[in-house]
Amino acid sequence: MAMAIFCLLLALSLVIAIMSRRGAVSSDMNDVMTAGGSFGAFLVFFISVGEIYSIGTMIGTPGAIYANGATYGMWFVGYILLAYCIGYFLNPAIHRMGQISGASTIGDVIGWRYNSKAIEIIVALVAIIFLTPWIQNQFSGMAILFNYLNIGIGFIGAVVVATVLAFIYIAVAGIRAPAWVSVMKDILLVVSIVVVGIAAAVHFNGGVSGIFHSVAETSPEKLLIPTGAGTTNVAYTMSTILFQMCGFYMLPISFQALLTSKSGRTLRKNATLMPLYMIMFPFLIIAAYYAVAELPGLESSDYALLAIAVDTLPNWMIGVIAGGGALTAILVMAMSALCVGGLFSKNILGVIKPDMSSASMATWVRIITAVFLIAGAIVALFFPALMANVISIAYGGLSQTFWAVVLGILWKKANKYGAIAGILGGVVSYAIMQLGMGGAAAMPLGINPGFIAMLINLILIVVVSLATKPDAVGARRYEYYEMTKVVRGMNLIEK
Amino acid sequence: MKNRLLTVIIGLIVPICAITVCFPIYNRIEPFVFGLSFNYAWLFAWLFITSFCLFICNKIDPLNRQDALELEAKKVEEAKALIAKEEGGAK
Repeated sequence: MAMAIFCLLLALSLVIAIMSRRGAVSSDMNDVMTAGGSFGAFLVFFISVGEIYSIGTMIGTPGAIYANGATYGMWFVGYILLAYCIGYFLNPAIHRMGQISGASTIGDVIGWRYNSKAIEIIVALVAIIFLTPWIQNQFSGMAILFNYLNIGIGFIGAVVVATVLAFIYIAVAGIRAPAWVSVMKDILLVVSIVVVGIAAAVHFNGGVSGIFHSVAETSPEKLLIPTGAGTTNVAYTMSTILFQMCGFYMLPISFQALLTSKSGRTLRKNATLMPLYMIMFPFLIIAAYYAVAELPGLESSDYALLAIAVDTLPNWMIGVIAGGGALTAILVMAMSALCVGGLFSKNILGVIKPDMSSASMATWVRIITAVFLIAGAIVALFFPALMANVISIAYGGLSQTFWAVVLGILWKKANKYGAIAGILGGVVSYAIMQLGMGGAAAMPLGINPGFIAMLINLILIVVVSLATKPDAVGARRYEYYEMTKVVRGMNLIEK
Repeated sequence: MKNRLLTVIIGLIVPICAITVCFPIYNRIEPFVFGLSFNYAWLFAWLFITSFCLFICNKIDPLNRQDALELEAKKVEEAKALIAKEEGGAK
């Protein structure tokens, strides 16, 4: 029964993906990557929020709380919420720069502003390298889902189906397919999470209050963030929130989503609704603490959410959850692969061979998308272990474009040397701190190395920009962007 | 300076402070609010409050005024034309 529903849902998603083709111009690079900037508030909303409800969220958040307590719950919700606030101000600006430059990817925007092919390639490489664990995480999440739920489909089958579907979405309609399927996926996910949360509350003596009181009595350390020394303390939590909230819209998938918008106004309107959409987190967290209170000793903390579902819900609902979870994974895979395809085709191949036509680039996008998905699937089949802290590592690298973007928008003197120094310095120092030195545990006060890397990044971009010769074209492009500003101080610039 | 600055304060500064600066205030279990421990109750409340803040921002933001939107569209077109002229065709 669960299996039937699961297959039905996946089939439905395919139908939606094919129907989303209407209006698509598959040989136009810009259309494939951003639908030509034609998405109104509805689609931009769903494609944007889709990113935060990845399978890592659905399974990873309750799992991490179950294992480690409140720290994860707090910073995960905290950074996403604040990212929306930053996005309210930052995204319309990025969007404008994208419009005047005709950009399709984050590589385009940064490359244009700084007038540098080198930086385009660097941004593309950093993005591709750090998106790889992101896709891996989706496959791993699906492995957990199918291992535990046991609805009749094995991991291999799931990987194959996921890879094929992800590719078809992109091949058929570029970014439009994930956008529309997102709507369906989000409905399924909301329903799944809300139902599991309610089931948890209903099944526990005393409901939500009962759950929290019980945990407060038996394991209060799971409810608070420790203030002393240690790897998950306050300094870690706050520094993680601060740096990841900056990095959120720098993720190629979020950046891509914002480029699809019709206008800055749409982006601002969306910002209002996105925090509300996080209403799912309370349900996830309630479910997590139900597991802490009621299901101690699970084989793996990642099973927390699924264990509740299997314990409390009817079989057909399990099919819905499996469908929602799988679609979530597939969509993130599709979007990530599309971004990788676009970045590789436009900002690496396109730089090496500048006379490549848009149609040929669009074809390359599909080829690279397929290659990336298949490579990910193969690695997933042979090395299915879940990488710890994958999301944080991905952020550590991907956030490093933040200063290049923000200073590119605000500061005329920011030049390519500074930006490159910043990005490379940030990424390299992060790699050294996280992988070489042992991560947050080795940092003073337990601060997240990503935060420190961001500081190093900022210092580098400012100092190197001031110390080197300004680039005439880059500065002129800043001026073009400045021309599009309509408010100086409080007043409308009359023209 | 008032409205745009106010927008930044309400939409950015206030939520950031509520989550980070106010941490010592909310990092506690008691008192329970609607059954939730205090820290989570605070966090969840701020999901709604932040949304409301951004709602207010949308209302007071001078960039959202109709004349500002039209002006912006016009300026984007002008910039694109200028770029096309000076750089001989955008990428």
